[in-house]
Order: sequence, then C-alpha cells, then structure tokens
Amino acid sequence: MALDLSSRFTSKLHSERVAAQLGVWLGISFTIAFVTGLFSHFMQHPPGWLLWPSRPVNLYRFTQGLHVIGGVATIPLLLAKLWTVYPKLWQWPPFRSMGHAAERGLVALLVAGSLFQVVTGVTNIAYWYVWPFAFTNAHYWTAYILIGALLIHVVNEWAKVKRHALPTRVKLPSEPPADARSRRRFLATVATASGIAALVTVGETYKPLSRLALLAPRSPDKGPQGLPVNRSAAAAGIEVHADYRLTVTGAVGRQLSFTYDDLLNLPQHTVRLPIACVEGWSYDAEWTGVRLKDLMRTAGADRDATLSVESLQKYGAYSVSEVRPPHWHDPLTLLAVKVNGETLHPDHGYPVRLIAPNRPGVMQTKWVTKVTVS
Amino acid sequence: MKWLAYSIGAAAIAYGFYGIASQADKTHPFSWLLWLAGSVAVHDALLAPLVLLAGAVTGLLKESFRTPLRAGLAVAAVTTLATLPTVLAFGRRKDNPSILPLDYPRGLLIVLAVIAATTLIVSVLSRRRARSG
Repeated sequence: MALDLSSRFTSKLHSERVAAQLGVWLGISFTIAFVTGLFSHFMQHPPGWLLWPSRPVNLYRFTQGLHVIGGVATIPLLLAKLWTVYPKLWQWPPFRSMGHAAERGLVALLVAGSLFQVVTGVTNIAYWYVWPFAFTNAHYWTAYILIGALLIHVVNEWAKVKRHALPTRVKLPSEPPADARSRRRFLATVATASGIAALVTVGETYKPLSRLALLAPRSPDKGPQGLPVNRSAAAAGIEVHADYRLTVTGAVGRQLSFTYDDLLNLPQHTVRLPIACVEGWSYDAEWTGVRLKDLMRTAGADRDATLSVESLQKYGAYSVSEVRPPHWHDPLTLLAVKVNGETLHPDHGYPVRLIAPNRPGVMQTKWVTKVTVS
Repeated sequence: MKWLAYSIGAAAIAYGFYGIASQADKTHPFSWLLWLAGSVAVHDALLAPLVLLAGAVTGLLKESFRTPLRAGLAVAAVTTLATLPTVLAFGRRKDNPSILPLDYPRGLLIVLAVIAATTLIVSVLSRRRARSG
C-alpha cells in the first residue's frame, strides 16, 4: 500500500472528531451566509408580491454585516476543516465504487464552491475586480450550488456528526487525555483566528469597534463630510445645472415640480438613519429633508402606489430604485437635502438623495431628479 | 428522509448551474469554472503543501515551543489571507478616497505583532508549566 499517502499524515488532528466538530460550525456559518445573502438579494430584487417591511430600521444593516463579517470569520474555519480532511484527498484507491466516486465528486464541488464564495467575497469587499464575471450574479448562483452540495454532504456525514459533535453523542471509547488536550487547543486556535478576523473588520459597521478595524476596507468616519460613499459624483457623471428640478409624475392627481430652493422651503424633518452597504459597512447619520409621504399626499398618489426614484446619474447600475408602500408610508423616509446639518456633498447625492430605513445602500438613490408613481 | 434531502440538494445544485448558464453574459461560465476549479487547485497544490512544510519544519522544535509557534503561525497566516485583498488595496480609486482609506501594511503589522507577542507569552508560560509540572 505504498500508494496510500493518506496514512502518512501522522497528526491526530486529522481525525473524524475534529472534522465533525469543525463541520458543525462551518455548516452553521454557511447557512447564515446563505440566508442573509438571499435576504439581501430579494430585498434588491423583490418579486411583485413581496412587500418588505421598513422596520426594524437596522435589520438590513445587521443581516448584511453578519453576512460579510461572518463570511470573513468563516475563512479560518474553512481552512482548518480542509487541513483536517486533507489526507482524504490522497486516499487510495481514489474511487472504490460508483457511489464513492459520486460522493467524492460532490465533496470536490462543495470545496470548490466554498473557496469560490470566500475568495470572491473578500476580494469584492476590497473593490478588487480581478475576474471578468459580475460578482453579484456569480456569487448568487454559486451559493445554490454550495448549499445543495452542503446539504447532501451533511446527510452523508450525519452519523459522524451524531457520534462526535452533538450534545446527544453516543458513548465513545474515551479519548486519551493528551489527544483531547491537543484537539481542544486546535479548536481554540481556529476560534481565535476567526475572532481576530472578525475583530479587525467589524468596526466598519459597528462604530464602537471602529478603532480596532485595522484591516477593514472601510472606516465609518472616513469620506466626504466624514462619511464613506460607494459611488462618487465624478464616477456617476453628475452635472447639476441651474435648471435642476425635482419632479413628481406618473399616476398622480397633480404633477409636481420643485427647484432646489422650493424643496428647502417645504416642511423639513430630521431623522437618524443608517446607510447600510451590501458590502457590509454602514454608518449612522442625521438626515434632513422632505418626507416622501408628504410629497405623495400633495401629489395625490394612491396609497398602494409603487414609486420609482430616478437619479441624474449617467453611469452605474443603480440609477433607479423602487420604493414600495411600506417604505414610502414610513415617516422616516425622506428626500434628504442635508446630512448632519450640512448641505449634502456631491458624493452624498447633492442636491437630493433618498434615505429610508431597512434598505440596502444601493437603493438609497442619490442625485434624485424624478419620482414616478405607478 | 435521506432521499428527500438528496433531492433538495441536487435540485439546488442544478438550479445554481442553470443560473450560471442562463446569465452567461454576466457570469462568464468559462472563467467562472476556471475560478471555481482554480481555487481548489491553489488550495490543494499550493496552500496545503506549504502548511505541511511549515508543520514539518516546526516539528523539529521542542514540544513546549512547537505547539504555541504552530498556533501563532496559523493564526497569523489565516488572518493575513482573510484580509489580503484589503491589505493589498489594489481596489483604491482616485475619485473616492473613502474606499480602502487606512494604512493597511501598518494595520497588518500591528495585528501580527499582537499575535507574535501573545505566542511568545503563551510559549514562555507553557515552558514554565512543563518544567514545574
């Protein structure tokens, strides 16, 4: 059996028990990433019947922070798991039967999908686009492949999970104390690595820890007016001319048209709301402007109308966003002209931007010029 | 029950592949496949052997040093890998200084220094314990 390299791995940490315990953590992490990822996807692309609530205000901020920071923290788990089971890669014969070959093929898909998701994820949050495919589409579809392969893998390995990693685990011959110590130390090391990865990034969305966010792609107080932005006015090709108007049109009782000064003379409201980016970072700010609800009442829009908020922007995929009734009825939803008491910086959407609770940042349309009611 | 789970899993996989194929203009299936297979290849043929090599080299040390050093190296390497695209900061853009605004080499050095210091303390403590115990 000289060919069986898998027996040459002598560390007791390449064990079924370690693999099962890491597997449980990893299964939980991937499930959280899948669910929060779907949540984000369907918030941005809701089917017609789906009305997301506008509250809790910080829900999307929380789920997307969990998706991204949790994803970063999953990397140590994944690498540890792959190290633990690495000897199996070299098992001989490679395939014992058709069933075994299918199982190994599925594991290959699971490993490939896992690595693909974390590699594209961390590269995307660092705005480094090294591949020709669109990140969102590739990451979204690969998630189904990964979760499907994971489900089948969990079924196949369930006996081992039950044996080693559940509170109800069956009695095993007791582990030599030295092995148990080394296993616990290994798992503690993995947990430490996950903890550090989370700790040095989570401050980009959780401000009290922002000073620890040494390796986060964003800092919640760095940017124009001390606030980060995703697309600058220059990148979006924004020009605001003297004849700028905000118009409300479509299925309305009367069409509205405002100059910038008209908007400043309407009743102003100030709300505290987060910008929560799909890339996981977020910040809170005080926004001042006109309630969207008030504008719709003036225009005579139907209560269950859907609004389409359009930007002046020439480039980029997010020039229009849809606002459904739960969001525009919410008194927190504004067409804002000020942030933290100052006139909006062009990069924050001067003259007017949309700001609403529980909504991804890409749907907080900037440089708003038209609201179409339908 | 088992077959139900298999069917759901297989359906999810099929749906994923269907999605990749049906949005080929966005997903570029060929390069997608290259990245999918490439990440496994890089892990299995490069990353894992490097870890084995590090394991063999540190294996020459005494146990009281070896264990903390391996743990320290693993934590340092994994933290670096997990944040590498940020540290490299190739995604910076002139028009938007709020993207990757920090001094990342400095940040990484601080994180690695903390890991190294912790490793040192733990290895001294474990040596002392080994002597007295």
